[in-house]
Amino acid sequence: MYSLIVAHETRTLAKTPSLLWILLLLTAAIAFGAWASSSVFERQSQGATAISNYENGMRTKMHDDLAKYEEKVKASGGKMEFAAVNHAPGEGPPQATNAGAVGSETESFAVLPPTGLAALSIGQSDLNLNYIPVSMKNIIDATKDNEIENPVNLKAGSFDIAFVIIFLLPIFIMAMSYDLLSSEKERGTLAMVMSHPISLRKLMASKLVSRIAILLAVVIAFGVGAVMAVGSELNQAETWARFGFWLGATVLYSIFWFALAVLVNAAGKSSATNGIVLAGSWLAFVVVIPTIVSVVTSTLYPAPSRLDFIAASREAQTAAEFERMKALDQYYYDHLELVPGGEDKANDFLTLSLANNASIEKAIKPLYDEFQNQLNRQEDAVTKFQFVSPAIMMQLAMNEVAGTSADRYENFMKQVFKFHAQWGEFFTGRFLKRDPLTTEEWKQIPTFKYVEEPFSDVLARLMPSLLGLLVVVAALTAFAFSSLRKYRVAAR
Amino acid sequence: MLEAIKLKKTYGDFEALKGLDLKINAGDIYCLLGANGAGKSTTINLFLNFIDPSEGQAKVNGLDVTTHPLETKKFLAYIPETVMLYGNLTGLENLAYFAKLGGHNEYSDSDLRNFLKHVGLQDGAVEKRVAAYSKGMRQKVGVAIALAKQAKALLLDEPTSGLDPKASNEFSELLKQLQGGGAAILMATHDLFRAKETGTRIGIMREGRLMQQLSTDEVSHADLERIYLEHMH
Amino acid sequence: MAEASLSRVTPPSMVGVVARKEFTEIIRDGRFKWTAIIMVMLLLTALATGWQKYTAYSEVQAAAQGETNHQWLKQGDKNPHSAAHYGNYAFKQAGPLSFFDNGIEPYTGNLLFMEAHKQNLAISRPANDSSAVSRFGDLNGAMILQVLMPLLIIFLGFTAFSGEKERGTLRQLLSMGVNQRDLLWGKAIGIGGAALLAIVPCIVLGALVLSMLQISHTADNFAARVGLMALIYTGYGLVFLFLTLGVSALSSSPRTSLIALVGFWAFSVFMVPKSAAEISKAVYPSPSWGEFQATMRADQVRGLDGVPTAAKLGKYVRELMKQYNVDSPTKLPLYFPAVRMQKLEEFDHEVFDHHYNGLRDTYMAQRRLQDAFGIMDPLMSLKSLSMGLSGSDLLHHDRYTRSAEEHRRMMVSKMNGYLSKAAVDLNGVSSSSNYMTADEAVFSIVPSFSYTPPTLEEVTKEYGSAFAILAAWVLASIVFAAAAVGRVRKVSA
Repeated sequence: MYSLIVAHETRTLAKTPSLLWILLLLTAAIAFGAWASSSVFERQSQGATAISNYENGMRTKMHDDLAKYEEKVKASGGKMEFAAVNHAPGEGPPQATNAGAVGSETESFAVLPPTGLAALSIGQSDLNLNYIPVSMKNIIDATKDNEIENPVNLKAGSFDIAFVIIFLLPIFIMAMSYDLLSSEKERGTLAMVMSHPISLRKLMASKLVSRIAILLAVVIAFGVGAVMAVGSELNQAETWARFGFWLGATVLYSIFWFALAVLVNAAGKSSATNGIVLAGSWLAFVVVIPTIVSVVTSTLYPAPSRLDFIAASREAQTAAEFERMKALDQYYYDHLELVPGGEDKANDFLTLSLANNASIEKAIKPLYDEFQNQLNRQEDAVTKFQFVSPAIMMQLAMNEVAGTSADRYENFMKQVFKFHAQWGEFFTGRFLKRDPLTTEEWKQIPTFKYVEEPFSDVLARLMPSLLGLLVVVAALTAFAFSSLRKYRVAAR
Repeated sequence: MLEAIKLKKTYGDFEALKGLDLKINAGDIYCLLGANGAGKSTTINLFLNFIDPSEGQAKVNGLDVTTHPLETKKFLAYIPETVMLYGNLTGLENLAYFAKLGGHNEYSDSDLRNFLKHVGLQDGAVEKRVAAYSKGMRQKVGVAIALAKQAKALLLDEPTSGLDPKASNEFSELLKQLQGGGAAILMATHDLFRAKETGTRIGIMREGRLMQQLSTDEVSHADLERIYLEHMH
Repeated sequence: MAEASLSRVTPPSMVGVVARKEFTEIIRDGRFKWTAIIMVMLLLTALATGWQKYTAYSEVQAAAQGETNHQWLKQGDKNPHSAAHYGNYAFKQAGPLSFFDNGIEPYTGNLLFMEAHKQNLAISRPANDSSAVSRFGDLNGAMILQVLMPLLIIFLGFTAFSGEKERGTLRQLLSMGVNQRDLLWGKAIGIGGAALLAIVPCIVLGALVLSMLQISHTADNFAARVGLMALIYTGYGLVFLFLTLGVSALSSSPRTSLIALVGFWAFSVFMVPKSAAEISKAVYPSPSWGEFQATMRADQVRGLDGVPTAAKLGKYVRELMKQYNVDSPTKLPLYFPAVRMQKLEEFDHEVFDHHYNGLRDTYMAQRRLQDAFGIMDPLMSLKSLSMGLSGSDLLHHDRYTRSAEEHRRMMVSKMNGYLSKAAVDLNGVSSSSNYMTADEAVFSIVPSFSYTPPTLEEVTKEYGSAFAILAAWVLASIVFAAAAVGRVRKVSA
């Protein structure tokens, strides 16, 4: 019986021209979304490469000077000397012998690589800088930089696949199902069908199966297509595991909207009324509730103002300066090339500047941490509030799957801080001991390699959203189908 | 085959049907006459379990329709005022679908064509989309569905209203064939003439009550009209 | 006598009769009551939170600007150039109507560090400090009117003609000899009136609050801005009102008109803005942070014209020596290190201008291209106009960042200039005593940072075409509705 109605529904749907348009629009949207989001990451990775190349180029030049110098020293049988920190190149050993100069005047970029499925959801990654400059300078300064993009575009938001799934897919689903029963009732075929030995629930289930099958076939086919086209790391099991969760979430989310359509149809109102109610619910779940949740969480856990943060950092900076530096030192601290007399004096200033940096960092780190903690509390609140709208659950799940979640970024930042410490350790010791750097040691300059967090962590964060969706969908479906019981085929 | 026992239906304060007792046997064509709102459609909807009775029982083949909704529908065929079909499908496709819904998977394509031919649908129309069908053609498909389903009881809700006399006559002929095949037929209608011609028994309803039952053999056309109008006053 | 007085009774205006009937029908509908209540509550919440954020931000901004201005003066005695390194911060002002439409403000930095040698990007974007849900959009007055109002109008009006067609009342109406034009205007007024019922209380309340709090003096032509804002949103509402009536007249059933209208709504409110943004990005690519920094840093060394900075500086020094007729920079009657630093600074100006102006021009080009999408989506024009009038658009942000850069250059050149003259006796002296200190009195020659946002005139000039497109939409939708209603007679006859 099911297969009969499913086949019948599929055939009837196939003959509806609007379905063709819906599917065409959906596929076009998926393709456009895949293109648009992949270009975001391409642009970012080009940016990371450009700036890394520039800075690495600076270091390579220093390294080449060093190699030449080493050769010369070896040939003359002398001893390697330690250069003073000096902007203006002149006589004597090259800057590259000075670990302090290398470590504080060139930057090494810590890059957060996108996951294989990043294109599925941009999340906040169009705002965050995914490559952080690391040197011996104050790391917290470096965290202030943002990825740049036209704010007009940032406001419009990305047309990524998550947008297609969260915003557009429900519209298409509702267009396919707002009149599941009402149209048959209005046309009179429902009475014809119901005079046969078939229950309304069975009829409804079959109608849903055919629609879900058509829609998901398209979503899955084009989802796989999009991943093949713009995804990466396709040979890794984890990528496909992530894709599996994406698919699962998408299926659940689709069923939510179908079930909602069933529920609305079960009320037995006209197609037009069903359309209004569904469009209104869409607006509520996808637009209004998420914005309210956003307002509520940011009101409950307001991010401390960056303006205050800046004023406080400046306070710390001024205090550190007053404490450590005389006016003269301050001047040379900014312009080492102007330091007169003994070269050691210049190194002293660098030492001072490093110490200064460290004390500013120490002073503002608690502020920074408090800032981050507050953001985390906000994120946690969203994690709790997500259950009020499937769209929020879906967005969080998509970001998690795509590796564009706040948590993954935070994990990256932790590694950046660690790398910064490592970098400082490598150069500071050698600088303070006035040990000339050698090309042999140069090879040991730390490099940043992002360590992907264990998949179990990702899963642990993904689960609340997925389980939440599952529960909501199951409850709604059960409720919708049980409310069909009250449906009356005939008007009075 | 069709039996109503103290069947009542109320909507709030309004009593649509006030305790109907009715029995229609195989081979009967029972015509329900009455003004709009007399309770004719309510009766049919109750037999179809489209609405729940407030009191009493509607039985098909001895089974209560509320407790055996699916079993009883196996015996039933329903022909509304206009048989509504899927406009994008052809007459043949519609018939195939409904026959299968009725649990009859055994028919071959030619069997189905024969049903449609039997009810008098022109050969050319069989493969046309139903959207282009006239009302008469739709009603014929309705009868074909009943035939294919091998229905033991037919519920007809003003099936001939709006049909031209020729189509109406053809429809009556088909009903008589079904009756001859042993079906019990309940037909709600406004058409006194058609009721007298086609029916075997007649029930006159007013405001949810069955006022009088007659056998068509017992009355003339003129008597029927007089009795009917008397009840309407 | 009686006859004469009878004839003098003017026949009831058809438009009024129809309008009154539509209005009564709608406000008696329970669904309308609930939708209107929800609208009003959302609008009030949005305005209240917008207002709260606006005042909180303005307070913090003013306080922070005052604080850093103070810190500049009280940075302690030091060399003037060191003072330029210490620098100052420029904080962005909130747009005068940004509590209603905060536009791109969440996505633009609101503080900018002004220091010697470097032009910085504005940092601290509120969106970076928000959770991922913030990307669903901001709850503000503009969003409610841009997104929810059209849907409300559609809900109220989609049955206007299609419903009457289905019920058959339209034939009856036309058989009574009602003029179609009267019917259209009557329905438009009735439905528009009902929609206003849900919106006007909020606007009145908002206006009351505004007049009480008197932010009006701070903004240029505040009242005119508010008036224009009301005008454009009314225009936007009219577009949807007449589109709804037109589509309703063309549709055979309420459900087809509803589907068509909701489809257009989703298309114009969600699909087009995002698609336009993506397309504009592809047509006018803008650099990422890394690319921007890398090319700028390279150009600083290489020189935009291919002449390395070091060579340019050498040439400048030679010219300077010639001018003062000396054979060594140490003999100049100016403190040479300060002159040199100022010149290097100026060489960088070209590079900064090239890159920062290029970035701004790309953003502007992207925005103008997006405005052109107004041809297929009235919201695109409305958005630009609304942000412009609110002072939360690219134009205002650009004015802020440019003013900050002007201030920075002025600050650095004043400090270097002071140093070059005040320390002239140190020129050529190479010992640890070759520095001078300056105090608060010197630092105070740099005025506090403040800037004037674009005037209303500048805004209207920038968005003139958007206004024209929106006006064209209003006209086109009225023409469309009139034509569609004119067809009704032919169809139902």
